[in-house]
Amino acid sequence: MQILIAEDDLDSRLLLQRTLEKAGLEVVCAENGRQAWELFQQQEFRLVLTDWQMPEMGGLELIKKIGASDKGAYVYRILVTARDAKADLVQALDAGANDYVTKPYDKNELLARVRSGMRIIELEQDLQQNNRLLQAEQENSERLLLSIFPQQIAARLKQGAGVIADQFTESTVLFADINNFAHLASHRKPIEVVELLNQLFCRFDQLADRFGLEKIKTIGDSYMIAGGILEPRPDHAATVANMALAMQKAVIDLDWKTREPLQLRIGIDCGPVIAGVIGSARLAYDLWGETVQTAEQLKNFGLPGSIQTSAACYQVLRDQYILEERGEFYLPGSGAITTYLLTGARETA
Amino acid sequence: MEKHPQDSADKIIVEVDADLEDLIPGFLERRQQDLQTLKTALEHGDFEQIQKLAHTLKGVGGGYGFDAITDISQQLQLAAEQHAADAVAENLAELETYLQRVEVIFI
Repeated sequence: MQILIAEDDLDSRLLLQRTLEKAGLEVVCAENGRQAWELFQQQEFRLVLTDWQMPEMGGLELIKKIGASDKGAYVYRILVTARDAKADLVQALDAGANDYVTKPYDKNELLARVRSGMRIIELEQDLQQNNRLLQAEQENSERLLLSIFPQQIAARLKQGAGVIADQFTESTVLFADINNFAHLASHRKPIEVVELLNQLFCRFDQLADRFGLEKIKTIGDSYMIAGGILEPRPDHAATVANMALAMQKAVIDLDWKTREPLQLRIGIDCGPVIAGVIGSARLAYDLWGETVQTAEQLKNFGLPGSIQTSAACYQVLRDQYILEERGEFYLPGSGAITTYLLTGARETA
Repeated sequence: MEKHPQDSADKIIVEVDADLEDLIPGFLERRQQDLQTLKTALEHGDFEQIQKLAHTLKGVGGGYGFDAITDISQQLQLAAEQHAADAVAENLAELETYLQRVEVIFI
């Protein structure tokens, strides 16, 4: 640790320098407060010994400037002066001096005071280090929180908002899974299965990011996503339709080294949903309601490689997208509904 | 530590920390210069300068082991504050004698 000395009198400066250097300390000398202030800004000092009266800038001003500087680390400041009145000492300590030594000083006393200052600096350094670790931990847990929850939900959880339960009247929910996945998995090593799913779902995560949609969760080989939740958006259905088409393309683009090409089944429904965070362990942000249930059923009873939507979606999408009526189906929980297969976007004129 | 000179023929032995040995010749030379500066200042009645220089000498003397310089300078500073020319002159004479007779041994 380098020590900065500010002293205008040559002999006083030489004495201070020699005393500290003989004690094994590294010293940098300045001939007045201004010079010391310039050195302080250029180099790293944690301990400063300064005379009071000096030309250009005095010791009190130097002490105040250092105290107000934004270099971050605490700097221990000792005033070394021949002014021995009690009022001087009070003034110096009030100005921010940590200690006050009168000249002529006893060499051993001076060194003991310097050592005392160094202990304070070490304590402060430990504190800073702990603060840094704490902050890194905090950033880690924040990253973790953000990887689990949408940003807005993470922020609300951090603020300690009680129960998180929202209603979104206009939203679109999508479910997708891999056709015949169980059979596919049974013929492969665990590592292959996990890698395959991970690669595909990471690609879906990227797409969700690109389209500004919220990934809700994965259940086994099923991937769930929603538009129009958290922040309302009028294009929620169209964006989810684009997402579905991009997902179909992503599956084809990736080479799975399977005998048969992989195929997605996708189901989409539009309507109101309830959203919230539940659980005490492994908290999860989730959606509920008929829209969710219908979207999942549309996926379950969909055709491999196709995107099955409800009549509600059809109404919203039919002007911009190509949808073919598949027929009337009885879906458990949803009853008899007419479904439509989304095959692409209409060419815009 | 050393006593103030009682008999002007005596040498005054001052023990100084061997760590400071190389600094002492310069230190004593500068005190001779200070003495001249102080004398001139007294001639001009510049008590403020005397006070300032005495303040510095008070701080530096004892630190090197020359306690008498600190003691004399303290008196000098006080005399200068009161613009007491006679007392200033007395202290300057005392400082001059001291500087003439001081002999340093390093321990």
